[in-house]
Parts: sequence; structure tokens; C-alpha cells
Amino acid sequence: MKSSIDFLYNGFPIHIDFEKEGLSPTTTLLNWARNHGHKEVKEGCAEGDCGACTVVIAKVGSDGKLHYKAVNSCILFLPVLDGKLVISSAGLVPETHNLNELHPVQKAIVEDHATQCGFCTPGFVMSIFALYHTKDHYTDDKINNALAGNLCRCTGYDSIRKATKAALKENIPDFYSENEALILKALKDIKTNTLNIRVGEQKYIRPKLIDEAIVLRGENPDAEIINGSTDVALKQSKHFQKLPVLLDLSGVEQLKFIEQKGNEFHIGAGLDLESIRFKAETVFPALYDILTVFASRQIRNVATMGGSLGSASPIGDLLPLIMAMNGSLVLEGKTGQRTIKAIDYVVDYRKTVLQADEIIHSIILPLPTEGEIVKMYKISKRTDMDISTLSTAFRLKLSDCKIDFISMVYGGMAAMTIHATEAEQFLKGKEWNEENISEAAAILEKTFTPLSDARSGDEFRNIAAGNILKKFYEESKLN
Amino acid sequence: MQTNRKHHISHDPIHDSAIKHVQGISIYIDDMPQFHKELQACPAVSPYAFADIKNIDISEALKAPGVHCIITAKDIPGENQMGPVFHDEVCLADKELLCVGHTYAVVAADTYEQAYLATKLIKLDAIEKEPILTIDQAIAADSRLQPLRVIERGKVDETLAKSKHILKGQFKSGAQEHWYLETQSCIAVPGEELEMMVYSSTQHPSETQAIVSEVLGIPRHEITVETRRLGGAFGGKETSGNHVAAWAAVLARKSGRPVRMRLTRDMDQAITGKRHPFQSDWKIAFDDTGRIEAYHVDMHTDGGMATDLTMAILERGMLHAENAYYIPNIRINGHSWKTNLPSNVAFRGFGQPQGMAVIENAIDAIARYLGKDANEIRRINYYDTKERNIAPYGAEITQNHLLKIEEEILQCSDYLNRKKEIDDFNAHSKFIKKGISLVPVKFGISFTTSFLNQAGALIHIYSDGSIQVNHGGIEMGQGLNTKMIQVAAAELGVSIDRIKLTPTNTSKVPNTSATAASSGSDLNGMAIKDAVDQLKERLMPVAAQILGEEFKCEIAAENIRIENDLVFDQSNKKHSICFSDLASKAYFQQTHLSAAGYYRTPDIWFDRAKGVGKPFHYYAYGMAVCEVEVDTYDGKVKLQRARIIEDAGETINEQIDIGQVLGGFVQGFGWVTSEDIKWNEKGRILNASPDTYKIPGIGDIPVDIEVKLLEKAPNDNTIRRSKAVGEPPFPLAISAWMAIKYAIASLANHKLEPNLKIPATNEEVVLSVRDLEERLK
Repeated sequence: MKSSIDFLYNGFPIHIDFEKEGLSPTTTLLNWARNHGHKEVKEGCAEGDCGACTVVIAKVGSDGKLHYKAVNSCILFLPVLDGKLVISSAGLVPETHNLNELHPVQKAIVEDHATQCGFCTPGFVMSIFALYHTKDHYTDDKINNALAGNLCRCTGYDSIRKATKAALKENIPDFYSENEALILKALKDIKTNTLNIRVGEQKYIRPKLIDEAIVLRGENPDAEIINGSTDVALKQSKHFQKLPVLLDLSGVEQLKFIEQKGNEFHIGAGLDLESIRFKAETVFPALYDILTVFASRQIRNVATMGGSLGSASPIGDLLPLIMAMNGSLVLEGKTGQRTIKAIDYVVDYRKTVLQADEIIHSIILPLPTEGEIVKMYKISKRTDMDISTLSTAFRLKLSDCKIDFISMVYGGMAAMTIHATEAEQFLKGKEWNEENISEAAAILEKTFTPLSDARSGDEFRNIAAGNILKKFYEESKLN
Repeated sequence: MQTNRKHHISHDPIHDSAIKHVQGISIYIDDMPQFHKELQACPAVSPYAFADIKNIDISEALKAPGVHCIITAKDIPGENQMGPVFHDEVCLADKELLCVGHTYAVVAADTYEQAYLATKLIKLDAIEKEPILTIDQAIAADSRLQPLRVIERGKVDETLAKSKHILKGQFKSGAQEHWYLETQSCIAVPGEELEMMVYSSTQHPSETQAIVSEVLGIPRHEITVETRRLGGAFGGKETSGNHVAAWAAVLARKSGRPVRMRLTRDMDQAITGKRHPFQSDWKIAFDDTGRIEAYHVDMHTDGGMATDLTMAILERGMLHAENAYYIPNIRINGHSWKTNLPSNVAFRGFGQPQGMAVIENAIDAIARYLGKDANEIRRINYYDTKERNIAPYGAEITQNHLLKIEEEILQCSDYLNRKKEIDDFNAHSKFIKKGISLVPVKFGISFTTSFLNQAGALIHIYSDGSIQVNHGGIEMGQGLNTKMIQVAAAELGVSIDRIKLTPTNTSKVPNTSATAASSGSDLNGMAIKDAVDQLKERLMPVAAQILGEEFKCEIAAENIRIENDLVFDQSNKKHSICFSDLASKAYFQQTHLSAAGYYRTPDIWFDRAKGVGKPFHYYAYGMAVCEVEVDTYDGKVKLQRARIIEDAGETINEQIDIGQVLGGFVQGFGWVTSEDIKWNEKGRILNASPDTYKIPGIGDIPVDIEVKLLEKAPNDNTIRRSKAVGEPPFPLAISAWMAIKYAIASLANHKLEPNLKIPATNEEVVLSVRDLEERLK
């Protein structure tokens, strides 16, 4: 165990001994960077919604190479950086006033007039820089998706998209690819270990192994568990709440897996959502689709399924699909593992069956079987980077145009994610036709008593609850 | 949009900060290094929409860790007010709390976190009162902010009474948050005796100086306000920046220490004003062809708790009530209402989009009523060039490019064919419906408060030939400084590399106007030209003498030219020296190498009481054709294609102007679609952070979008024959909203008029569809 971290910031070694410095371990990377003169990292919202604070984190991947990920530094706690490389817009090239000395990404933005006030620009640069280092073929849609977590209020984006395309066409090695071997060595030289940091009243534990995690969980039943911290970090970044005990599972590599076993995905609670999305693209389109509009690239790069389910939010985008697929959660505590059906996992508003000594180990997600139609719809004010007003997962099995089975799971309509039982029962065995769908939609409009809140009024939620079934029906006809 | 990158790179200078921006080394207020003994501040704000203050107890907060200073109203040495026009907005609430977010105390501590936590320890004792939270409530309570304003021409009531066709309705547009990326920021640094140095993220340093002077009770000459650049503003830092500056200055005065104040995003969104919501009741009379005979509109705007710039905003709304159309009989009543919400403020367009949207919606209704294409109705109502060319307020509509732009945009958007394709699509598509619309914009350029149309500049030529340019305008991303460097370079005949533009500073150019009303280039450019003209007048005789001596001949000063950094005799170009040599030699010959330039816009006036005048120096025109796809089940709107033509005169920097057009349009697109603000029944804003307030993201903007600047349209009597381009593109986005309405109306085969307001959020669309379906039954 250790209580200090080591990482590289734009190539320079940084050592932080929290206890010695009296520095809170829940200091965000953004605040640390700005307090240390790295003013290129901007605070636009302090909640991971605007991307002005975007930096890239590179780490040694299982293939022994550097892997680059754009993240929101405003909601990232420092201990996560142990053994990693942080890259900001000021670290791409030595400071210059010469256009030709800029990094290809920076140069493209300048040449395409894709910066106006410039406040969002360092964040955009870093999101595009991450793309530059992932050798992939980028379409407009993929660029849009990668930049959905970066807001710009000046340019109208067209110039930024053009600059991105221009930059991605370049294939010039940059400082980081040229010095990959050196960087890898420097990172491998950092001895990462379980972190156990105590500063004042605050305790921050970050185990490396699952067994350690279970022991530490048992010893700290009051700990708030984080795994990506894209939700919990807001308590610190926006509300300056004291977070007395944190158990950070993001260091446990054993929780970062996804395997297809038969007709099931087994997904480690600690795997980032972007990796799941990547894996789901060809195997499970409904999962891929919902993850595509799940927050932003920066969030998905660190957020995990364990974190999403752990928060048990009634507007979480994953639980409806997991419930519709009749998935399960594997929970692990000091007495071992137990498996619980997703439908039984949440018991009340943000309350789950998770015991004080347990963590979420993994999720078992059955894949659609032959002939099943599975779709998930998310209704939000903005398509990308928005929280659901409501969301619905459908799973349908027809035989001879009759409904063999239908599952309809709604998020955002009640204190927890729920099945639309009445409409499901109404439809079962009936013909899959417009008349029955209209009737079911009418039932759905009266099924829930949702809230009116910042995202919409209850009337819209109710109408949309029915309409979404009609949409599913229309689209199922196209299948 | 296809552009040739290499082509435009060679022509237009890049934004003067672009290379710094991409590295993140541009300095915004909060990036400035910490001052010695600096404190950080956080406001304590009202949780009540309307309440009487009984007591404010700061004793516990003062004891909190790190806290050094807390101010309430009684700590203000000068006047407790910060209203920019009317003195009806207190700096710190003392008797009444007028909205949720009304600041009544400010805490300064070693860190922001300490200051924030200490605000929670302030005990506020207040008695809540019944607030007014909507325009309807304000009307019912007769809660007028300022007296009614009227612009009227012709026989409105008579024509409405006898006309064959009359339509009427109520039109609403909502509030909009500026969402500049950089939140309101200021550092106030006390100097010797009374001096105060204020680094402020303000669009209006002179007014920030004035307000700080008033709250501190000291003359303006003690106060220097400096602003290098803003991380976006859009009107939101025209007056709102003053608040933070005033609080920081009072804290700095009381504590004797530098005070930094940067609002967090949530605080900024919760306590600063928004775009004015408008609610307009309209009546329109027209003949069988759709030609408008009379128009009556009562515009009601929600000014919030104080006047701020509401009257100027309402006025601009009224002055654009007819948009691009000649309306012989017209009455525009402007009502301003006081509510218990933060005082609404300037926002790109400044009331014009709100005023214009009403008539555009009415014309759309006429088209649907007559079963015609809306563009036909628009065309027969456009201002003419020889007759039918006088605005309701008596001014002539000059440089009218409407028909020229229309012809071009119909062609480049392929409007008629696309519309037919859309109708065909809609006939066969069950719930996905498409829409298309063409909307014109006529935008009057000048501050309608005529005296504000003045500006100053200061240019120094150093003896090494390098040049410093300063002006009263603010760089907020729009490229003003880049254009001003271009203007100075072109007017003087030197390269842009020779010129350094320095931060705006009230001790360099005094008594400036806000960088607002799209006037930045027009006013400051002319002031720079004036300064350059003075310098040239002094340099030419010196150059003639130097060249004469060097080449041993007689050279007349009027024959001297400066081009490309070369000073030469135009009758013999071999007789030349470089500009640096001229500067050096001129210095040794004791030439004054610094000049202050000045400009005021000629021939503009407006009589508010009578509602007549020539309030605008000129008009900028533009048109957009937008195509949308609407999912009528879930309300999702996709902008699929947009074509925009904007009249920017002879552009100074095409790429910067195109950036302004596209940026303005997209901001407008947010206003008409996803940007929705709700308040609860207690007057608390529900959308005070970006997780619930949604400005457009990159995925909302199609690849199929093209902006063209109108060619061969030089402006008269402006700097380098250019036109303002900041605000006019914003309301072009109303075409996207109109296209959404078209898509919805297709559900009723365009026989019924959809009820739809701005913004057409997914919720609004679905409710509008439901309403239409009910009416169809």
C-alpha cells in the first residue's frame, strides 16, 4: 500500500504525496492543474458536460502500447492518475507562435478558422488529439460522436468538424508517437500499488486486486464506491461536499473484462462503457445504440457499468435494457458471489439490494436470440450528451404475427426503472398490428405518474411513453 | 460545405489569437497569476423570489476557516446601485429580495471553496411575499416596468375593421441562457490611495468603470478597467459583468486586498439575466393575394426584476416588428413587465429576433390560410426599392438587397424542388415528417440610443517601426481585433505583422460604448482609420523630406505612398525607404508618432416619444433556407440541410464573417429548438447547469450546411465598405423553426395552423402534434 501517486504531465514526472502536502485526494485533476499553473485546462461547467477541461490520459495497454483516452479533468480525482500520462493542449508541442510548428490537430483548427473565443478550444484539441492517436476510419457520424462531449458556443461546429477531418487525414508522427518507447519505459517504471490515502478526516482507498477490494469493502462499510466517479465527483466539483471514505475500484484490472459466453455477455463492473460499446457494435446493436448516446466519449472512457448500476438512478440508460433482456448482476462480498436478477436489484428510489460488504462484480446480459427484436429508445432534449427524459427498452418475439413475448421497460417514468406490466399483459398473445398497438399506447399513457421537472412536464412523458411503442411498432415492420 | 482550405488561408488572416487558443496559452481573466494576498469571492444569494429582508447575520460566516471579509449593502461606500440606464437595480439587496439569486452578501476567503462554504453560514432572515413569475401574472397585477412605447403609422383599426381577411393569435418565445464558455470573472486590485485596477470579463469596460466608481463613491479617474479577451459573451457580459466587478471592487476596498471573483457555471446560470421572453398578441389584415394591409401587435416582454437594457431591447424588437416587409398600416405597442426573476439582459439580436419571429409566424399563418407557398406571401410583401420603402418609424429602407438574395437562395437551396420532394415524402411517411422554410432578415445597424454610436482608438508608432493599436472594442471571439489589425494595416499600408493589438483599457481610450449592437468593427474601425489618417498626415511631409534628401530631389508630400511596408514617391517608385526607417527618422526629427482617433456615426436620430426617426446607419440583409426532419412521435428534430446568404458588405475577413454567420445561426438554432428554461412555482430556475440546459452540440449541425456572403454589395460610408455581421445571422434560425412548423402542419395536410412556440423542444413538438390531432378529430 502507498499513499502517494506518480504520473507524467505532458511528459514531466509528477509526484504527489497527499498526506505530506495535506492535499485532499478528491482534488480534481482540473483544480490541481490550474493551481499548478497549467491554465490551458479550462473549467466550463465542473460537471463533465462541456468538455472545456478535456485532457488525454495515456496508459500502457495490455498490448504493451500506449492507449490514449480523452477524459473530463473536472470530475477526475487525482489518485486515478497513478502510473499514467496526462496530456494537455499545452503539451503537444513546445510553446510556439509559428503556425508550422503546431501539432497537426492544432494547425488544422487554426487553418480552418475553427476557434473564435478560444475557451473551448483546448478541450476540442484534446478530443481530436485522442482521435488522432486511434487509427480508425472516421466518418462524420463518428467525429460527431467523439466530439459530442465538447461544447462550443461560437463557431457553430462546422469549421471544427472540417478541421478534425483535415487533421485526421494527416499521418505525421507527433512527439508522443515518436517517443512512445521512452514514455512506455517511464510509465512502466512507476510502481503502482494499492492506494490508501488518509488526509485529515478523509480516506481514499484504491485497491489493485479484487480480493483486496472485498476486504477493504468489508472494513469500510460506509465507503462510497466509485468506479469512474463521473457521478460522485460532482459532489466535490460542484458542491464541495465532504466525501469522508471513498473506495475507488477503478484500479482493479480483474473487473475490466467483457466476454461472450454462449448467448450472454459477461461484463466486468469495472470495464469502461466505451470498450463495451466497441464490443457491442456487431453483436448487440441495441446495446451499441444506447451506449452511443450515453453521455459523451470523455464520460464513457471512464464510466463503468458498475458505476451506472451502483447509482441506481431511475434515469440510468442501461438498466432498462438489462431488465428487458432479463439480465443479472453478480454481487461479491466476503462470503463470496451471488447472482441476482436485474429486476430484483433496485428496490426503491436509488435503493438496491447491495449489502454493505458487497460490490458489483459483473453483469450478465443475455443477447437477443434468433427472431427476437430488441430496441432501446432514449428521449432527450438533445440527442447527444443528454440525460434521458425517458427511455424504453423493448424486447419482442413474434410467432405468426402474434406476440409471443414482449418486454417493455421504462426509465424516467417512476422512482425506479420499471416494466410496463399492464401494457405487456395486454399485448401478450395478441396480434402485432396497429389497432392493438394503439390500445397499448393508450394504456401506456395512463400507466405512469411521472414527475414534471427540468427536462419536461409529465404530460409529455406520458404521451411519449405511448408514442415510443408506436415508433417501435413502425420500425419493427421495417425489420 | 466544400471549401478550398488553401484558398482561404492565403487570403484571410487567421484570428489573431488562434495559435495561442489551440495551445491553451491565451490568457482569460481567471488565468491571470495570483496576486499577493489575493482573496477569492463567492456571492450569497436569495433563495426566495420575493421577500422583505429582516436581518442578515454574517457573524458565523466571518468565523469560518479562511474567511477575511464579507460585504453587505451597508459596506458599499458609494451608491448602492448598478443599473446601467435606470438606477433601479441595487448592487446588494438591502430591503427586498427581488428574485431567486438576488445577491445580498459576498464573502471573500483564501480559497473559493472556503468562501462558498461560508455563504452557507450566513443567516438570512426574510419574510416571503407572493412573487410575479410570468408575463400573464405581471399583466394581471399591472406590474409595469416602464411606460408603454408605441410606433404607429396609418389607419390600423379602420383597416383591420374593413379588411377581407384577418388572422390573429398569440406568439411566445422563451428565455435563453448565453452560455458563454467563460463565466463572469473579475479581479479587483487596490492601488495607491483610492486607485482600483479592475480586470473584468466585460463587454463594456467604460460602464464597468462607471459602476465601480459609483459603488465606491470615487471619480472614474481612480479606476482602470482592463479586458484582454472574453471567452464568449453574446450580450451576456454587456451589463452582467458589472455586477461581479462591483462586488469584487467593494470587497477589495473593504479588505484592502486583491479580490478574484469567478462565478461557477451553476451560479452564473442561476443569477444572471437571460434573453428576454416575449409574448405577443397580433392581428393581421391582408387581401386575397396575401398582401398585408394592416398589422397590430402588442409585444409583452419580461424584463425581470429591474430595467437594465430592457427598454432598448424592446425598442429593437418594435423597430423590427415588420422585419423585411412593407406594412402600410401598423401599430406596435411595446409593454415591459417587471417580474421576480433575474433582470433579463442583452443577448445577440437584442430583441430583434423576438420581434421578427411574430411577423414571420403571422406570414406563415397567412400562407396556410390562403393555401399558398409562404415564400409567395413573403415576396409580395418585401420592401420595394422605390416606393413601399419607408419603415413604420419613417426611415427609408436603403441598400435593399432582398430580391437579389432571394433569387440566389432559391437557386442554391433548390427551394421549390426540395419542397416538392418534401411534400412527396410526407405523403408517404407515417410519423417522420419533413419541413422546409425560407426566412429573410433585415437587421438595422446602430445603437438605437444614438449617442452611443461613438468610438475611440489610440495608435502608437514606435521608433523601430513597430505599431501598437488600441481601441475601445472588446475581443470576445468574434475576431474584432483581427479585423482592426487588418484595418490599421490596410489604412497605413503596412503588414499586419508590424501591428500589435493591446488589451482594451479605459486609460487608453476613455468613454467608450459597449462592444454590442454588432457595431464593434464599424465604430472602432472608423476610429482607427481616423488615427491612421492623422499619423499619415504627420508622416508624409517627413517622408517627402527624407526621400528628397536621400535621393537628392524635390518630392511633394502628396506624392508619398505607403504600401507593403514601403514608403515611396509614387512618381518614382525607386525613391523609397522601408517603413521602419521612416519611423526611426521621423522620431529623430521630433515627429509626434502617437494619435488618438475618434468616430461618431453621422445622421442618425430617433425620437422615442413619437416613435419616428432614422435610428440606423444602414441595414444588413440575409436569408436562410432550412430543411428539417421531425419525429412526430418523440418530438426529435433533425436539421438536415441549411443554406444561408448573408449581406456583409465588402467583407474585411471572409472566414471570420462566415464564422460569425454560422455561429450566430447555430446559436439561434438553439434558441428555437433545444434551449428551454423552466422555473418552478417558487421562481427557482430548473435549468441552471448544462446537464439540463442544452445548447446545440456538434451532432445537431448537419454537414450539409453552406454559408455564402452576398457578393458585390459594398456598403456606403463604413469602414472599408463592410457591414456588421455579429447579430444579423442569429434570427436566420427562425427558418429552422418555421420548417418544424411546416413538418407538423403536414399532419393536417397544411389545413390547420399548428400551435407552436419558441423553443420547439421535443416536448413542445409532441404537445403541438397532440393538439393538432385533437383538432383534427
